[in-house]
Amino acid sequence: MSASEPGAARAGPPGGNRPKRRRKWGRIARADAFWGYAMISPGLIGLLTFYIWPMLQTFYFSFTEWGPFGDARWTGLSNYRALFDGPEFLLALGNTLVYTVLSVTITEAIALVLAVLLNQNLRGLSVYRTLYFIPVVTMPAAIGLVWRWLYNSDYGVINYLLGLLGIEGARWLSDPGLALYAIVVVGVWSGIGYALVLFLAGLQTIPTDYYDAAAVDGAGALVKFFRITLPLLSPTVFFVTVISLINSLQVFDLIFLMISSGRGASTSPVIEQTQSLVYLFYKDTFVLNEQGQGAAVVLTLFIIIVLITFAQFRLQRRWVHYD
Amino acid sequence: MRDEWVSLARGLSRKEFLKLGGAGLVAGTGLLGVAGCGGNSSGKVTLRYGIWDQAQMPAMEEIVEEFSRANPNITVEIELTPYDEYLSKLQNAAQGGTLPDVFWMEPIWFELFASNDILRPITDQIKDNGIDLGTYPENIVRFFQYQGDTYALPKDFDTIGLWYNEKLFDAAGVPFPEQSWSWQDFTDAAVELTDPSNGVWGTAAPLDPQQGHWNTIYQQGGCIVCEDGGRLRSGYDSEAAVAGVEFWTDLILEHKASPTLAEMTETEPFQSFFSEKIAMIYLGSWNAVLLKEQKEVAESINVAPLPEGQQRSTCTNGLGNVISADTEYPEEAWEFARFLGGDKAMDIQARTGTVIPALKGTAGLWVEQYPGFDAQVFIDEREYAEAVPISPDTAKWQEEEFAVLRNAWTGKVAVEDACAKLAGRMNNILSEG
Repeated sequence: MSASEPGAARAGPPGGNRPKRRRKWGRIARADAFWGYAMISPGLIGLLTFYIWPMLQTFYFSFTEWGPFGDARWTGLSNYRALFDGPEFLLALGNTLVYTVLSVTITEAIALVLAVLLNQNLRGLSVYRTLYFIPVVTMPAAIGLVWRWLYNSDYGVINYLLGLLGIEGARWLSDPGLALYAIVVVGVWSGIGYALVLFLAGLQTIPTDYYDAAAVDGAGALVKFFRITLPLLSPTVFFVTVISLINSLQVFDLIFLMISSGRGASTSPVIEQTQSLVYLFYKDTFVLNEQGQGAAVVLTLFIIIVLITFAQFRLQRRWVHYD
Repeated sequence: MRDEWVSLARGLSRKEFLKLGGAGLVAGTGLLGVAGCGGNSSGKVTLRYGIWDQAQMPAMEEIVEEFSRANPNITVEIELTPYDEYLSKLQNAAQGGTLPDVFWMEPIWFELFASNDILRPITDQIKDNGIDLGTYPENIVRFFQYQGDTYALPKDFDTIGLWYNEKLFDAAGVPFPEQSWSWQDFTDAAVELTDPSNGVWGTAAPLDPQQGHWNTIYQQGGCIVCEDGGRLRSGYDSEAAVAGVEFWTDLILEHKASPTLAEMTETEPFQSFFSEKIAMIYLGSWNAVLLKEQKEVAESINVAPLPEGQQRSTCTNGLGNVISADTEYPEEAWEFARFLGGDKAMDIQARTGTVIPALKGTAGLWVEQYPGFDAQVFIDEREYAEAVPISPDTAKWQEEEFAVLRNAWTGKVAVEDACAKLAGRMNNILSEG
């Protein structure tokens, strides 16, 4: 058995004028492919074990009901039907969408303005750039806890400062009408740096000639921004939007850290108005120990994310300029 | 192969042996154990002990140390998981076969675990070792029995007390709480103590079953999970339950003598009591150790029995140390569990003031650790104490309890309606079990 020539034994059906060349190329390509696969195998194995396999399992589990200690039992679509039994799922879906739309649009708007302002040659700019990026490299757990203290209506800094101005502060995190927006603010604050860095990189690829030409034609700053900067930055805006939408739709940590109290979130009067789909997944899976129900929630979220992302790629032709 | 391992083990000093590293060590000792020819020194075993209370950590560490001194071949690693995540972590660990060898168990979760064969019965060991279960309070022993088998030796017990801040009472000119207090006395005092200009509340009415409405429902002669001819049903659709819940919601909504639920989620009542913004609060005996640590406040606080409703009552609970059914070291785990239920461990729990130890006759030592408090109250309350509600899957209906009752706490739903709704949901869950 010739182990060194596995290709020879399996060469395709003879015929045509090319088999000889093909065999030679095939062997090299195969050897290359082998090493190629060998090189990516650590990543690939990790991906298969920790992402793809659990995803398939989650898909399966969403059609099952779990006993207190495992033992999944097939129950068909009942978990998906249960999503619409009470208002909880639809409320969570609504919260997630409100959070996502607000945080993505506000983050990008602020980041864009800041990026244009920071895209200059001035002293000390790198300090500002660093400052804006710090929240991005801060642990979400720390962000959640610190903001929770800032927001505290009895001892928090925000209400204290408002008090100095003679304004009575609100109950930011325990007023059902405010809590979600308070979380959006934190989401925006922590997300600006990321969008900002990408926008800055995008801005620097725009040739200055365009601006010079526009200046000659007598264009003002606003015209330049809307006619040159924005169109040429659109690929970056598109990329940032796709990524931030996906991230925002999966919001969990801020809600978990800022809303829950000593006895978890169960006693919070605002949990219904703030819980996101991933939070609902967490509650079903880890608090109620209903893994099947939790799987149905995340799978629904997955489908929503896929649809939204797909739609974005279809719609990009209308507004993204790749030149 | 066996010989190789044995000679390898003999040829190495203990230090060198340890250097072989965790995995090799475990594999090696495992093989030696199977070979059955290891001497006393080579049968080293590491047990994992699961607990949830940070405040009890020092006492648990001391117990483990004491145990290892008596059993040099067994090391115990304590694994601390916060209470909120404890149950789900145990459930996941049980699925994955990674449960700690020995761990704390709540009576309210016990049946779920025992009925699914997650725990290892110790009935035979108790008999073989001549352990007298009569030396423990009967109700706690019964907490951890299922279908004729015993699964744990009791660890501790607790009751709930009315803690109060003497300084705030003096400032308002209100006499301190005493044994004879009725619900009305309590409510009147709470109203009188409330001083909005100084941000002081008479009391706190959190949504906290064990340190809250379970007690008051019991005090009206009600039950949470009631037994009706061998069948379990919810006790929430009763006048007693409505009254027991209204006791708390009225304090917030009607008398304005407690922070609202929203305010209490932002700043926990426990913290406000420390910062002397709350004059009276229901807290369990296990909090004494934390209260004592707060040096500035500790001097001005004390504890009294719970006010009396239609009858005297308090909620009582007690933990047990259970053994995982698939522990690799059943013998050693039993040795440890036995030690935890023995007088030395009880003594350490009492001496450190951590919790009231379960073994009869050791509670006095716990009381002695609190010369500044009338801690004897907690022991005396046992006379009329009632156990926490037990059912096959308590965690499941507890989540409903929170979800439904929080709307009564905020005043969105009338207490009567909330209780009726909760009873319905609870009965569904109880009938499944």
